[in-house]
Amino acid sequence: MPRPPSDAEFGELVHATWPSLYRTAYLLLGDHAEAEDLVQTALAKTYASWAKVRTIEAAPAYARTVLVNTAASWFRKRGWRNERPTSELPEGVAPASDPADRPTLVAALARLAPRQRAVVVLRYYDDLPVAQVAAALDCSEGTVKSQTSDALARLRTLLGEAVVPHTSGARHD
Amino acid sequence: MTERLSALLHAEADAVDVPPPSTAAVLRRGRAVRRRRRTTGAVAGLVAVGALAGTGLALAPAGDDDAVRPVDPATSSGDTGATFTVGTTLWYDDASRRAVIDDKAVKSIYNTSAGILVRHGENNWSDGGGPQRFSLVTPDGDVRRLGLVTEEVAHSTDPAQPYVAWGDSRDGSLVIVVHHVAADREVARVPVPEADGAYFATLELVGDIAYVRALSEDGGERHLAVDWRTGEVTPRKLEVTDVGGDRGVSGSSIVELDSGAEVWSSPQRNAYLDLSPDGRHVLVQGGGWQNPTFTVVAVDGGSEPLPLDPPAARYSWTAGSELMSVTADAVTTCDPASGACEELPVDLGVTEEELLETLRPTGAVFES
Repeated sequence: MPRPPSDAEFGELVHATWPSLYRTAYLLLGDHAEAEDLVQTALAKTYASWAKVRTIEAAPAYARTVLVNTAASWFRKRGWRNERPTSELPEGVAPASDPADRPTLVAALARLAPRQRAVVVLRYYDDLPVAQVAAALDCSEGTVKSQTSDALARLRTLLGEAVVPHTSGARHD
Repeated sequence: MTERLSALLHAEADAVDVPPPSTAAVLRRGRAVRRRRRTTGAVAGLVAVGALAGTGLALAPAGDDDAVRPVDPATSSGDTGATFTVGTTLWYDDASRRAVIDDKAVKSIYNTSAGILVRHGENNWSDGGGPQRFSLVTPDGDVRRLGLVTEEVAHSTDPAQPYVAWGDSRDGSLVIVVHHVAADREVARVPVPEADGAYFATLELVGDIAYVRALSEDGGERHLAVDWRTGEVTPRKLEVTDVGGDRGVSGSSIVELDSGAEVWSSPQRNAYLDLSPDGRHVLVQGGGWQNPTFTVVAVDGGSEPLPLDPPAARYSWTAGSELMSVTADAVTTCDPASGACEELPVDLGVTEEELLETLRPTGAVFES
């Protein structure tokens, strides 16, 4: 069995990976407290699974995979709200003509269904290919593509075509 | 064309206010999930390990192996899994970590929310045998020698708090002393005139209350509840010799600490009762010292008593209310509700005979 890391070694890993993991978690969840809980959970699972992780060098990628899997699990188990309340836009309205009136990207992400939000973050922030996103979310590649298409259409409505042009969505396919 | 979307995502992510990480919290949660996996994942090990030999057991489902819950300070503080000393080496966190105490012998160890408190001195007698010195082993693994030195007193901690308390009897007057182990300073000294004449006292610390058993030279006993923050002393009819959760051991019964109401009573006469820290289970040792028998009973009922094989050394409770037994090459922890056990191989560097001589599990006291 590989030698588990010392507290000091694992502490260095936590400090090195925390900012990046936190940003992904925040984009996925849209809430600071939940993002912090998710990152702590992912790193705790990484610590507890050291027999699989084996080395400090492999730990960041392992933690990121655990984070995404855990978020997907939360979406399934916690009865995650399909849409998180925001004050920016009522339902079903046309995109604001004045760009200054449009919601921020984070607020717009919060208007997406959890899995749609996840595919957008994983594909366009974490730059994962469709196959990896499908594996992380435990769904088919076809589902990832259809969810991506739906998510981009919704974001286009919320943010305007300048941000999400009609031709979007082919990357990584 | 998603370059613009990707750039915006990165820009907004870069603007996110990232709080600093708590490495200690991550480590606590990591160790907790590791311990939980050992327990819930070890049902198959019940037969292989053979530490628990129950019949007709309804084993609890394994549950979510990956479930990680934030540490609840009210229930999890001070939980270092299987924890014990062999010689002057403290083994903790399920014997995955160790620390060496700089003294001749360890007398006993206690869980606190600030770390593991080790009482040590010239020999391994617990409450007697000369000066009682103290070291605190913090969650970071630091060994801090405290300035506290006592003699001929019996100590108690509440695993959820950073205090150690004891009764100091001098010239027939009893004083309850409370010491903050992280700050290494005395925080309370409460006179108990109701116990005048006592020559020795034992106590059990639960939150702000010390449940005191004061012994007199004439053989009499007085039982008192002392609120060490307010100084209020309340005489009680029932003695309490062990506590767990909001319950205590009183003779051959388990009682509610507040009301004194009996929750469970042992059908065995002269059985020794050891209550789990959460107050949900009691380890019953019967049969005398020649042929001891061990049984775990759910205090609230709902399951059959679980007979245990006699351990090589002895059973004791971890602060997280798992049963623990130690041999020279393995540490076994068992969930008292399901009977699931996990045997962790270790090399303690001693023979079985040496182990029996020097082993000090959490909460145990020995006199020679």
